[in-house]
Amino acid sequence: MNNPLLRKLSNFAALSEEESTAIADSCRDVREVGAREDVISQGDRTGGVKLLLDGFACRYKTLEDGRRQIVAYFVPGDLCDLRVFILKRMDHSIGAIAPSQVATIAPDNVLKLMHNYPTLTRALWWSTLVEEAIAREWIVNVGQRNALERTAHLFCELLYRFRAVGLNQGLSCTLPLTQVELAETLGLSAVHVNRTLQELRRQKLITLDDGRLTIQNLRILEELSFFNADYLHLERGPDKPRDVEREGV
Amino acid sequence: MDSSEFGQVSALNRRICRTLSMLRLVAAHVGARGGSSNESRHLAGRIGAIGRAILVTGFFDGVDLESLVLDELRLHAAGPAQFSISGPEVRLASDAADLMSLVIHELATNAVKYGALSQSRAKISVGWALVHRFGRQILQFEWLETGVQIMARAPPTPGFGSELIQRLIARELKGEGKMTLLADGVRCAIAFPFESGDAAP
Repeated sequence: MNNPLLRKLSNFAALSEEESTAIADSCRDVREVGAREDVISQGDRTGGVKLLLDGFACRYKTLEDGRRQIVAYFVPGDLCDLRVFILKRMDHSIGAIAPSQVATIAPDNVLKLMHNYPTLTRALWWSTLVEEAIAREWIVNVGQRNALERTAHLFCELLYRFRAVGLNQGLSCTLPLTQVELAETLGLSAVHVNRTLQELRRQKLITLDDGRLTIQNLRILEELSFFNADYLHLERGPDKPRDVEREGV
Repeated sequence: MDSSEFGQVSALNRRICRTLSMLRLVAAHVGARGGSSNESRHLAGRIGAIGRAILVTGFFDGVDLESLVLDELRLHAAGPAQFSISGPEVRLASDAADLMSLVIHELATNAVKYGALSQSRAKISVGWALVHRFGRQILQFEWLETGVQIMARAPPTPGFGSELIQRLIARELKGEGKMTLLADGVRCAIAFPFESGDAAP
């Protein structure tokens, strides 16, 4: 099961061999995208559904004066909007943050998959609902949580999401984000992000070096950011990650 | 922090959260009844300011003063060009953190209503220093708004903010606080004996 979409969907339902093969067959159109390059830009024709196979990417919007808001992250296995081909043009951009591999699933193939495989269809609905749940949580994040809470919450979420596709190493995962990108995600100034990361490091809750996030104390990080993984709906996922490497602060 | 310590702090935090949530209910009720009254509009914000300081103190070794200031300015949508912050790393013990969080909230709210955050050319500089005086460490904190066009609608009577700054700083922190109206802004100076929240030896 090398396709990360299959790993992701397995958190919701057990897919048959046939369904797995059908998905793998639809992901043959693969393109390499360099770091900080757009996969597709605002205003482009929508075309097929993009699937991140490898790397790390984001969905973002820019204001005319250049200010940018990152509104979602994509980890491997994430679809960049299952139904996007219904629309004519992109109202936002998808950009790779790390060098990435992106598959394009032609609209016809998406429709065919959904026509032929009901379990798979429900699994794809599930992934769409989870994306929407994440988007809701991000609104709560920038609307209500303070800088420390929202940063901690984002890191918890990313660990769980990498873990759901088997791409974590214990309480650690790749996270090649600059502080400016974090600021654009969290709705904070870069100075504020820097201060907040310092504080999280100082309290021995995380390290973030060389594009790698390591959570040193997940329990405290979850508690102080009011993180509850229920919104990720990992119904069949493995148990809660534990502070195995390091108990306590 | 071991497992039982974590459990204790976590239980206490849950209790604080329940209390804050009840207070917010009360505030919402007062807001619904009191309609547009000034005080009812401020209540929820004040509860938020107290909550921000109180929840981290259990897990952390003191509250980072700069983070308190930054969070409060962010909440009032202050752009990076509207303020500057300077001061050494200061970790407030919980008593000072609760009160300073509220003080900074009042100052920022005031700036939105009458001061530097209501006008495009005005600026806020927030600064602090630790000085030794009579064998004790004193935290000197200053909130300075300049370039403000003083409007006639500035508050005629001392409000909750200045009362907080003058009376509570003296009573709770054994220090002094003073608000001064300037020709082009306002200056708030606070000083109190400093005890680091950093419990680590």
